[in-house]
Amino acid sequence: MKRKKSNLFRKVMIGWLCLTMFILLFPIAAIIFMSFNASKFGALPFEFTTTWYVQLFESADLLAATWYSLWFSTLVSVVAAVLGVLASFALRKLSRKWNKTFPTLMNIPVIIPWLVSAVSLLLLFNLIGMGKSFVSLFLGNLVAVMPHSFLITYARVMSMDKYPEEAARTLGASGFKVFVNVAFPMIFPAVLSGMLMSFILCFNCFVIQYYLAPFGTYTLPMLIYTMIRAGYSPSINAIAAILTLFIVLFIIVMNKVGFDAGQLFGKANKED
Amino acid sequence: MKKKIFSAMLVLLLVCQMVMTGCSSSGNDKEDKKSTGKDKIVVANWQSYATDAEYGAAKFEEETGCEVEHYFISSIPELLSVLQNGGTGNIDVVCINPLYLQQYLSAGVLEALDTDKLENFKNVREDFRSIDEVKDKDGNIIGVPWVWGTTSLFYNPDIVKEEITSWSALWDPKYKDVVTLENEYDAAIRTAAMYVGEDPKSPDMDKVQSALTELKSNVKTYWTSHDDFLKAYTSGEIAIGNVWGSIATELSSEGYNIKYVHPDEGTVGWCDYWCIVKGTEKEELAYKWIDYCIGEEFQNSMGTAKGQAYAPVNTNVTDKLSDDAKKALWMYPEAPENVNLALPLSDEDLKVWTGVWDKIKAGN
Amino acid sequence: MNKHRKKLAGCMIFPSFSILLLMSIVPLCMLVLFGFVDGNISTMNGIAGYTLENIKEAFSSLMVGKLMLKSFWIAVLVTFLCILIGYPAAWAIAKIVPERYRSILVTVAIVPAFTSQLLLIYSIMTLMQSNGLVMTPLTVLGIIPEGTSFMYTDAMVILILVYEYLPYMILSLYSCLEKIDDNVIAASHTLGANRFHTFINVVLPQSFSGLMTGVLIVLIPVAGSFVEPNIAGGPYSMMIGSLIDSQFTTSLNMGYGAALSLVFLIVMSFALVVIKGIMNFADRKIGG
Repeated sequence: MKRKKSNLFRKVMIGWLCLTMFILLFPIAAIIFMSFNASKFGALPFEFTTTWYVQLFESADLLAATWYSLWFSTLVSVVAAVLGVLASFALRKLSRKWNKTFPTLMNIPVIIPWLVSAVSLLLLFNLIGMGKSFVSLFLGNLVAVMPHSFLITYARVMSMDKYPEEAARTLGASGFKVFVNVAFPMIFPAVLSGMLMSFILCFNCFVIQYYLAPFGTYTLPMLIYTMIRAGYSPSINAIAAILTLFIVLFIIVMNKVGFDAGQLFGKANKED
Repeated sequence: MKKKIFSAMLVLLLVCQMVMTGCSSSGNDKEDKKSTGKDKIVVANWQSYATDAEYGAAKFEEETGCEVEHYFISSIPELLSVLQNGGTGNIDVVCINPLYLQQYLSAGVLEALDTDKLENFKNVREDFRSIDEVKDKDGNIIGVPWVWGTTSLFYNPDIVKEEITSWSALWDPKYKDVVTLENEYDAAIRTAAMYVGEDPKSPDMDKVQSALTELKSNVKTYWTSHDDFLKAYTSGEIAIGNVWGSIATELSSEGYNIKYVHPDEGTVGWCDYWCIVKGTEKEELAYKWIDYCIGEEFQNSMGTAKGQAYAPVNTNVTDKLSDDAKKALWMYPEAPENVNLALPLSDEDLKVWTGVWDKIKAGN
Repeated sequence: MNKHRKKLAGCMIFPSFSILLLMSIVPLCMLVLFGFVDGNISTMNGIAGYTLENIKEAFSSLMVGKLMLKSFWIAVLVTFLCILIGYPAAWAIAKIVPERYRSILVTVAIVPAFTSQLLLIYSIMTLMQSNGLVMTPLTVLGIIPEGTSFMYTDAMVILILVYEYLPYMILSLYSCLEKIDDNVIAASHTLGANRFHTFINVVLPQSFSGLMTGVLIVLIPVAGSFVEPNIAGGPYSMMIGSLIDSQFTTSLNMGYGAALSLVFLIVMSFALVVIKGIMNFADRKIGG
């Protein structure tokens, strides 16, 4: 009896998840659909065309900006994740006072509107002679996304069970080994969430990039947000379609190869 | 176990590699540009706004062998803070609307121009090129007009079944919930000033404010960008209001039914100017660029472009435009007479005008 | 040994701490300074003078108060909806779906973010317009009267905001639900607690930290949003973010913009303290 009820509950939950995912992906599907539509304004009836893809590959700007945004966001989110993990583990060893103040300080970049921090950072960087440069762009984006990565990791680290680590240490594992084999796998899901979150934040962070990017450098949001005067070209739909395709491919490959980072560490943990 | 650590490191290595190639490839691009040794000029303008089209920079590059790099702007005041914070020296020529000219001048980022260096300057419409407001304190010309247009009244004849000739239609309760207005204080205030019969240059702000507040109950949405307007228009949510002539041109060239009129009370216009940034090392090239942009070839291509065409300022070109081209630009048989161009606002006025608009939008 | 560890901890926290200090405390101080400056530092050459007007105006204006209240209300609503939709979804990912699919599903949740925010907004609007894909079947079935349009209403703005911020909520909830020990839940069941009691007494308290992060990450940006109400909202949809933004980008009135940001900052900090207090209270109540 109970088993049945439990199954029903699971089914409802899975159904809810599917529905949520469906709603999340539906507008993307519409965008992909529109990337093959001939009308510039996305008007129906649907008329198949690949013009927008041709245009996309003919104009170097959009592709270059997309590529720049991709690797730049990866860089920023990886650095943010590393800093977040380091800080979270450090806080475990530090005093209560630190544990009270540091996370509170981390709220500041979240509360200050991006526009305000972008303008003040530009003034600050200008003052110290860096101006609009790659380092400014990097630091500006890093500080905007760092809190997200940190807060998630920190919440996870703080509620982490201490016994597995202690046990490993008692068994003679070195500090580093304990971290890699025991502690990190436990917090990995949080690190991954934080990293994904900072990635998407950075990937869409127009204002900070507009003010701090060096001259001649364009990120994708910068190209898109400056299209206010003449409108976006449907080639951007095509970019969205291609990126989505890549993510889907990535996911399939990861699944087929059976390489899933979380699992990797998780299994290592169990084997040990 | 070892295998797994190894593969993890491999992934890390791959990521690093990706990042590095990204870094170095973007670095190489820059070096490539330098090593070509071509003269390069950086032009700040709106994206997809004539100069980055085939007939714009590409043609100029072909003719002169120089390189044009665009710096895309997202608003004129933002461009000013960029210029003030590292932009001067990196940007050579800027396209600005005179609305903020006063602030640009007091910031001291613009160079006084020597119009003798521009062959085509004499052909530019006189009422645009010698406006007192586009001169600095000593009477030197600061900007060269290169494109203009109106922000006038449009309506969708499928929904609005009468001929509209006056701004007062916007206030008509009949059109409740299909009216739109550009989310821009200057056009809104000048439009309202014409409606209440005030001088659009210095209207009585109380009257304007009450007129715009009254209008708000008719408004469906304030549109903020090109796409924003298109979305609202093509979905039939709005049917009457103000819009840039170029958008109406584009819509009608794509087969949409749209009427664009210049009302009896007059209409709001804008004219964009090229200015040279103070301290540029590419002054000669900058003049060449500006001269090219007001030259007949460019002006003609711009006025007759497919889709988004903009009204030329070169009189040699405007005189020769075909009837169809004039119709597309909403200038048939003649260009509108009673046009209130956006003119510079002092710091004080700017505060008052934007303040009024903020109040109207925030009120309920 | 202990000293050595402390030193190591110091080294580990140093990079993030210094970046934080430099890149966010400095802007914060500058923000306070700007609030007292007459005119616009970023466009004028230096500081023209000091004034109290901006601060006075920002803290006493009825208009600002109303906008703030409205933005806050919308933010609370959006956050609540995100939790409502995101909690079960995150639970399903963390506890029901087989382990190997978890990271994948989490990645799928962020697919929409690879598109420009603007494109997504327009796409949702296209779907939701009165003759669009979503509304047409509803009108044909007679669920809603013909000609109903959600375009350019607060409802549309809220819908778009929920859509945009849902992935953040799912991510932060997932990362903390994932850690809850299955055995504890099973134990609770064995001890005779029903599903509801298990949730209230076991699951919910353990997810407070994730909820708090989620609220922080969703509530504040939503309260300060201006792109969505500008594009998808009607004439009465203005939020405080638009006012702040226009001070910097159209009015060139940086001082007032900074003063408004300060108001925003104070209200939001206060709200966070209150929310944290409520959660702590609930935690103690349940725990005790």
